[in-house]
Amino acid sequence: MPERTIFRGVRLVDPAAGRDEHADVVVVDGVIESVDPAGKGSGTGEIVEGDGLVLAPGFVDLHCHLREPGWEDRETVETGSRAAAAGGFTAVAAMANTDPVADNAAVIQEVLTLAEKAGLCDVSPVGAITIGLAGEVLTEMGEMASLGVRMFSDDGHCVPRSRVLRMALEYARAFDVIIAEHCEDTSLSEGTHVHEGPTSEARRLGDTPPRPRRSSSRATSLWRASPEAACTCATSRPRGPLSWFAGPRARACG
Amino acid sequence: MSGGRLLDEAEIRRAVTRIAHEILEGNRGAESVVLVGIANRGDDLARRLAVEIERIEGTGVPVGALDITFYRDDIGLRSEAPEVHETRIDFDITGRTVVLVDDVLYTGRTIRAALDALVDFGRPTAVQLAVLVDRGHRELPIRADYVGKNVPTRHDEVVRVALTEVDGEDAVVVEEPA
Amino acid sequence: MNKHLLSMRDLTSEDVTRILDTADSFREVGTRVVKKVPALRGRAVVNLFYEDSTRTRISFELAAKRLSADVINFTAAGSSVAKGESLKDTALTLQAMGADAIVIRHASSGAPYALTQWVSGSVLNAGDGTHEHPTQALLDLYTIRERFGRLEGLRVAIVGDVLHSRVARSLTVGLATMGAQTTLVGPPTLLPPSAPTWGAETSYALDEVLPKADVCYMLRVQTERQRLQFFPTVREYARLYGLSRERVAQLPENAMIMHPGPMNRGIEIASDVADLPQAVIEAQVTNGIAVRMSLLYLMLGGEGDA
Repeated sequence: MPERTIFRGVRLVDPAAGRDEHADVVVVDGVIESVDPAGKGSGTGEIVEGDGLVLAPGFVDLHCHLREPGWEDRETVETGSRAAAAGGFTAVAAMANTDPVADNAAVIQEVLTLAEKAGLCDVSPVGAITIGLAGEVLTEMGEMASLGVRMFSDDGHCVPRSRVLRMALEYARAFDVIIAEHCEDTSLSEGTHVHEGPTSEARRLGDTPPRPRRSSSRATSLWRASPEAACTCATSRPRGPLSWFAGPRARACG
Repeated sequence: MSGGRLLDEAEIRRAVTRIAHEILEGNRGAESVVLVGIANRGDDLARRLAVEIERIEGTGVPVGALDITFYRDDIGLRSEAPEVHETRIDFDITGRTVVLVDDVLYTGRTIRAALDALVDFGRPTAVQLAVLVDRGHRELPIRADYVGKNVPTRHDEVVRVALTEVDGEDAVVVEEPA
Repeated sequence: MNKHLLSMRDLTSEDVTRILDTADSFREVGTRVVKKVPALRGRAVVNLFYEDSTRTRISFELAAKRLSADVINFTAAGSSVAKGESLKDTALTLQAMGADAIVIRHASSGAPYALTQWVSGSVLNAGDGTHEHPTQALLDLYTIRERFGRLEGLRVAIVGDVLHSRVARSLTVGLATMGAQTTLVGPPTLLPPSAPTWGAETSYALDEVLPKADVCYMLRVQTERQRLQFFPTVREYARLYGLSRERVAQLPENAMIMHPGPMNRGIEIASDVADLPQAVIEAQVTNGIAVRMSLLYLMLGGEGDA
C-alpha cells in the first residue's frame, strides 16, 4: 500500500528551478509525484496543511564541525544532526579536526556509524589532507574515498608547505574528490581577531597586526598549477557546489 | 665456363641418389653416420640425403642444421653483420661420423668455420664432406669426400643453387658477372 | 644497424625485428654445452657502470664473453671515479685502450650521449638517469613476442612509478614502434604529464585496465617515493596499485605478468603472484643475455669505424 502525503498550500521555494510559488505537493513513497498550484492538488492520503510555510529542497551545509569523536562535551554527531535537521539541513559535511583526527578509515567509519545511528540527516565526513592535520604526511585518501569520503580538508589549519598541498592536489585526481584548503597564513594571522580597518585600528584588538582578508592567493596559484584538481577555498562560509550531495535518506521538513 | 644451367631438376635428383649410395659405401652402412647440413640450403640437401639413405638402407639417419655465421672469419670486415639462420643439432655427435653437407664448395672458408663449430658440439670420430657442386678456387686445404658435380669456374662468376624448399624450384646455374 | 644504441627512438621496427630474430639464434647458443662462439674474438667490451647493478652488468658480461670478446668491468666504487675523475677523462682513457664497445650505466640522463663525443667505439646505454634503458626494453619485447608470436595489436599495461622509470619510457616507445598499445597506470603523482607524447594512454584505475591487458608489466616502486609524498603510505599504494592474487584473476586467461626486477615482494607484486607460472621473470633474465649478444654482434659484426 503506497504511502501518500499531500502538502497543501505550501510556499514552494526551489532556487535551482527558479520556483517561488504557492502549491500543493504530492509525495508517494518518498518521491514527489506532482506539484500543482495551491488548491488544485488531488487524491487521497495524509494531509499536511502548509499554511504558507516554506517547502524547499533540503539545505546542505558544506562546512560544519560535529566534534565527535573527542569533544562530545561540546557537540556530538547526534546533537549536530538534530540541529541541522531542525534548521532544514538534510545533509552536512563534517570537518576532520576531531580527536582523534579523521585522517584514516577507522575514524571515518566511526562517524558514518554514529550518523547512521542518529538517523536524522546525511553526514558526509570530511577526511584530513595530512596526518594529524600537521601538514607533513598525506593521508590514505584512496582508502577513505572508498568509504565514500568526497572532500578532504585540514580545516582549522592551512597546509603550510606548498609541496605537500601540490602533491595532495595531484594525488586526489585519481579519486574524483575535492580538496578544500583553509586559506589562512598563520604567520600573518597569529594572535589576531578581526580584519584590518578603522575599527581594528582604533580598538587595537589583539597586540599584534590585525587579521588580513582571506589569503587565498597562494591556494589560487596552486590551483592554476594543477588545473584538473578541484580545490575550493573554505573559511567559515563555504561557496562550493551543492550538486555532489545526493543523500539517500534526505527528509523533507516543513 | 660461360653462363647457363649446370644442373636441372632430374640431374640434381640423380646426384643426391648417387651421393647417398657413396656415403653408405664409404661408411659400410648408416650405423655410425649423422648428417649435418650447413644453413642455408645445405640443411635441405642433408634432409634429402637422409630420405634417400632411408629408402636404400631402410634405416633412418639423424639430420641436423648448422649455421656458421658466428664462426666466420670475416666478421667486422663486411658492411653489415651477416644474417643468421637456425642451428639445430638435437643429437650427440661425439663418437659418430659427421657428414657435413653444403650446396657449393668454393674457397673452403665456410667448411673451416663449420669444423670449428662442430668442435663446440662434441668430438666426432670422423668428419666427411658432401657437396652438390665443387667450383674450385680453394683458399684453404679442404677437399670434399662426395661431390655431385665438379664445375670449373672463373672467380668473377657466380654459382647459384636453387632448391624447391627455399627457392621454389631445383636448379644450379652459373651467372656471368654483372 | 646503428653504431650506438642510446634510445629506443633510434630504432625502426625493422631494426627491432632484426635484433629479436638474431637473439633467437643466440638463445640456441645458450643451450649448447659450449655456450660460446668466436664471433667477437679479439674485441674489447667495457662495462662502465657508475650505478650499482649486478644483474644488468653480469648480463652484459656474459653476453660479451659468450661472443669470445674480452670484457673489462669498471664499477664506480673503488675506482678512479671515487678519486674524482670525470666521465670525460675516463672515456679518453678507455679510448686510448682501444675499447670496441662501451656499455654505460650512469645516474645522469644523457651521459651516454656525452660519451659518444669522446670515444670512437660503439656506445650502448645500459640505463641513464630517468631517461632510457633500451636493452631492457628489447629483452622485454623479445619475451613478449616469444609468448604471443607477435607484438602488433597487443595491449600492455605498465603499472607503477612511471614518472621515474627509464624502463617504462623505453618499453613504451618500443611497443609503439612495433604497433602494440600501451596504457600507463599509477597514481596521478607518478604518471608523467608528458605521457601522451610517448604514444600511450594513462589510467589511475588498475582494476579497469587489467581485464583488457595481454601483458601486465609491474614497475618497482621505491619506498623513498613515500618519503617524498608521491603517495601517502606503502600500504595504500599496494592496495590501489599492487598486483594481488585477486587482481591476477581479473587478467585475461593467457595474460603474462612481467617485472624488470628487483622485486619488492608484497608491495607492487604479491609474493605468491611472483611465483605464478604467468610471471615470466626468470625467462626475462635468460632472454636478456641472448638479446644483448644479438646487439653486440649486430653492432660490432659489421665494419669497424665507418
